[in-house]
Amino acid sequence: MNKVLDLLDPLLILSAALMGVALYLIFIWVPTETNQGAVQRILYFHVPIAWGSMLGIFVVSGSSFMYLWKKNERWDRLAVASAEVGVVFGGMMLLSGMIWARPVWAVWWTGEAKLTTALILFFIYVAYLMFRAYFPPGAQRQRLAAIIGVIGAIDTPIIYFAANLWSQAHPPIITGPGADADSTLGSDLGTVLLVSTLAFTFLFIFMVQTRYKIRKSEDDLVELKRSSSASVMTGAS
Amino acid sequence: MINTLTRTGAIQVAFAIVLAVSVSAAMTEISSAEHVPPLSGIVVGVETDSNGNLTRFAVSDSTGTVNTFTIFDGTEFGLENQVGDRWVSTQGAEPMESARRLRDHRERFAPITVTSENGTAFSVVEREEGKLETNLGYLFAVFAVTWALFFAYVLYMGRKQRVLQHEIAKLKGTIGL
Amino acid sequence: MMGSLAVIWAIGRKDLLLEIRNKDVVVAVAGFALLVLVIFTFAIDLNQGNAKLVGPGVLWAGIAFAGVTGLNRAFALEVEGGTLEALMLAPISRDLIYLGKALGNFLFIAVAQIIVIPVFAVLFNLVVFRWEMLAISLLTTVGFSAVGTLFAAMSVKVRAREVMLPLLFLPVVTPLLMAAVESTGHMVNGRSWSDMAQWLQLAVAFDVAFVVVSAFIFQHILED
Repeated sequence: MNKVLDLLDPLLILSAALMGVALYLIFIWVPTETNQGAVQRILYFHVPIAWGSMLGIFVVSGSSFMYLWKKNERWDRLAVASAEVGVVFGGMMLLSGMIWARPVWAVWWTGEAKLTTALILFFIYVAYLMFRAYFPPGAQRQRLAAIIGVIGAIDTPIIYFAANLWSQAHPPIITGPGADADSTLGSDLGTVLLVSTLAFTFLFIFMVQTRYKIRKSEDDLVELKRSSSASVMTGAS
Repeated sequence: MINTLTRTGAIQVAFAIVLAVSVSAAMTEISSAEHVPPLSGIVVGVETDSNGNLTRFAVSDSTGTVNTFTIFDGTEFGLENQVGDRWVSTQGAEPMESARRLRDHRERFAPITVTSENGTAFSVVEREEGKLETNLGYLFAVFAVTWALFFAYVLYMGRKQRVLQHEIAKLKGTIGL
Repeated sequence: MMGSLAVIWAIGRKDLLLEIRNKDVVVAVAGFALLVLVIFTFAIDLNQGNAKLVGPGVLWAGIAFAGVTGLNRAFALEVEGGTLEALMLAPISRDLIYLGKALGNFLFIAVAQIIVIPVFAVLFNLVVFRWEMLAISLLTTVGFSAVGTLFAAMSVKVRAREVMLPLLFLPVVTPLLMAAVESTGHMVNGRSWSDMAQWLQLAVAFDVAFVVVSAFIFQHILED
């Protein structure tokens, strides 16, 4: 019963439908871009995923801040849910970006500012999740994790500024067919990107929601275990 | 009840995000509206100074028009030799090698792509549109890898949730709720 | 105001006296950093040309890794002695405890650098005894100890603390590390202040942001 209900989640249906439309637009409707060829279609995938990971970081920082302020469990659940989904999106972003860069820029990786920033932020939020996994559960874990979330948010503009300065001092080697060329597609690109971004945004929300529910169930379980052991003890005495 | 409330909340948030995305997409479109397309063609002339350093080169495009480009220290090169080894460097770093590579391309009639501004070349690279099949491989790789990982993650979450709910139900049974 | 400074100094001095007695942290930091430098002189075939290119990176990577080791050690001592709990019982505001601990860590890393930087100058054959080096070194050490003290205090109760601290610390200090490496690079190439101004400004911004935010946020760590 529960399984069927989970599958029928309206957000999942919505994102699946939009994803179908996006796939149609990406592979059939939009013409091939002339400078980069077929690989340019990766961008319709890469950009929305990158947007999802940014959204993840944004929600983690916001809800971490709210947790430190209000000390409400819900903010902590939202933070951990969006951190995990954000890291999954971030990993996809790095992978898809590298696979795109290889044929277009002729390198897998380069010291470009956005790339460096994305990678460092990815590491910070992986550390956030590892910290949560290694710390004994409880209010202190939630507080400390929230601190990491806030620190990450403060660090983000500084990292970007530094990465930007750094890449000016060491110009990234980008020489492929897409080195300086903008797209030749114009408005078609915007349309596809918009639909695809919408699809991934709904997927992101669905994933965060699911992860949030799991976190909630974990808390419920701990609560139940406590009350059951309490009732056993009173029964024994 | 609470569940439906949070759900409507989530959908409202979603619509707000949609609005923000569409605005930002429209903005990017406007900002990237104008550009000079890069030029592809065959090298027809290579000029060097007395030291053998590259000074100018000429490219003939598919219509037969000859375009002459000057270079500067920051001009980037990404050119392959006959066996496909790619040489990546800048004019400032290796001013003689760039001339040698361009002459090699002229002799082989190997097409190049030049991005330029006001007749000054910024990057000179191997023309790559022809290799659609290798590029399709990259496209396939991205879609395969990302979808596989997304599905794996969603499956992982679904399984975790089922295990948790099972445990909760079991505990509730033992307590007798 | 004077009272606060006295409290900060008292906490910093306590750590310093302990350190003078057993020399655990400074020896760990300096020893580790020196080993990194020496290993790199083997790993890279050093000559006049590439010493200037790789030297700054090796120096600061060494100090960053060694700094993590030192911070781990400093807080391990704290846990063994149970002194952090004792400090928490004292009627002092949390931000002063933080600043005191950060001052202690700052002094340890700074002293270690006094040993490491001259050895670096000898091994890499570079001129480093300049005011620029002092400024870079001070700014970087302030940032390292500000972020490091916060994360080390957080990692005290974590399983696998030795692993967790570098994983938290290193990505967060990356911009500071970039600033240190780049401005040291400018310095060894004989350029002046104006060339490294932007990097030094970045380091100052980083230090100010993290000292203020960490002092403010520290209360949430020690709250129970």
